[in-house]
Amino acid sequence: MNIENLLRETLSDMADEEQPPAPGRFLQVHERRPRRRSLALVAASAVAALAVGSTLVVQGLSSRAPGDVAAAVPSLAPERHSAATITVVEGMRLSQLFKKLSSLTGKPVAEFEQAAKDGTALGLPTYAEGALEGFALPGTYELSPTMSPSEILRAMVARFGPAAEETNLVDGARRAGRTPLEILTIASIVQAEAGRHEDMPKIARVIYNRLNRKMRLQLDSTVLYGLDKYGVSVVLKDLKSPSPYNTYRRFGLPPGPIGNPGYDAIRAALKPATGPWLFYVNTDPKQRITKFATSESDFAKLVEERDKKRGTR
Amino acid sequence: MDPGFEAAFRHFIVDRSGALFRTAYLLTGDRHAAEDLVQSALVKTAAKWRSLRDPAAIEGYVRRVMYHEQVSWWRRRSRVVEVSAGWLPDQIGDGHADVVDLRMVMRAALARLTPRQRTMLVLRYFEDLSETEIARLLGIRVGSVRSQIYRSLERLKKTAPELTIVREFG
Repeated sequence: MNIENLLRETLSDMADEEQPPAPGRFLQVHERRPRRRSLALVAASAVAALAVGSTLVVQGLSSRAPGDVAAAVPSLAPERHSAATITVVEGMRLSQLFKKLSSLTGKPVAEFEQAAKDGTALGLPTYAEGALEGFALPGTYELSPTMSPSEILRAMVARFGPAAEETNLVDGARRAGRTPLEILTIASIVQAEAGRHEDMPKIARVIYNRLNRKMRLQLDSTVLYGLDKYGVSVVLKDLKSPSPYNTYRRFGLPPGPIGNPGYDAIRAALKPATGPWLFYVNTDPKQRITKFATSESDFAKLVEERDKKRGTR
Repeated sequence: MDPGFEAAFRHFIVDRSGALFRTAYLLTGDRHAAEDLVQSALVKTAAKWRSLRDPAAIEGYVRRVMYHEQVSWWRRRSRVVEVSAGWLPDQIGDGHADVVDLRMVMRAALARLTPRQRTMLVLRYFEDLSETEIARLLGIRVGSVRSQIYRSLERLKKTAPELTIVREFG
């Protein structure tokens, strides 16, 4: 086989693997409370994505003055983009996002923090309880120079709505006996803890099993979030922190999401794998291998395996 | 937008958005970016409905917007934001030359191409367009398409030398 055939096969594999979203995603007509959103923003950021359903396109493009349309929908010329783009990476925390936005727009971080406080203006669902963390949907957004911090964040929240619909978040949460915010909190932890996407449903299962048994979650990712630190493991001092995100001390879930989870993590939180596991260990961080255990003794073996590997490196 | 076009456009989306998404996914390598790309191309196409009376012309136009956008937009994006390739070649392979592994190596190598190079390869080897068609779509010379495809293949081999042994398996 030559490289061209290998390339053909690889591309066709990749295309088959990724399930296209339902066409409704591109057609969807949203009847939300009217929000002042400029058409330019709509067209430019491909937007608020799904809100671009035919109604918006249809009304927007036929009922406005032609000049408007021209401004809103740039021609095919490649040099039209004066805007920058920002990618909300899966699992990104707001604190990281704001720093990035600040460096892109030149506006101080404080302005984004301020804008994030007005949950109503951002269009957050009521179950968000006014906090943005967890609701800035991962993806790529285009920023135009005229956008205010509030408009930028609003575009990210606008994409959360369809994501919640597609994953059936609200109904799924009800079936699981949890609030949508709790599910998102679990999803954000799954996102932070999983080395690989295929481990997500199992990690979600571990979280549920521990919650159901009234065990402390003891998750480093939540502690680190509470301390605004990064890394893979915490030190002893961190474990003593009084933060509400310290799941080594407190029982139950932390008070809210610890980052902004993507689709896979949300799905995992709604549909965890079936299994008895109560522990997992990242035995080989370099290969992103996670192993699961049910008993303390198996857990101890996994820890040993990890430490051995660390020792040999 | 007139109702006739709107109906045709909706029908087109229902019918073809899956195929558009797959191409967009190959172009971008990222689900979110792929959805954005399709959405954005659809919005722009809808804006041109007056000149697209013929519903049969819709797909060609949408695709052209997608290809152009990819070639221009990604160049900017890669400058502004870090793009995670998911995993890197050193995590896989380990010298096993079986085809599955080679496909994984190929993916990783693809992730390291520039958006333009990647677009060229997707158009040529996934969409099966001829060099002439690609040139026409992107508004560049045929010779330029040919040399860019050649260079992209060379770059694949260079980033993933494992790929060159494929030849020996005939």
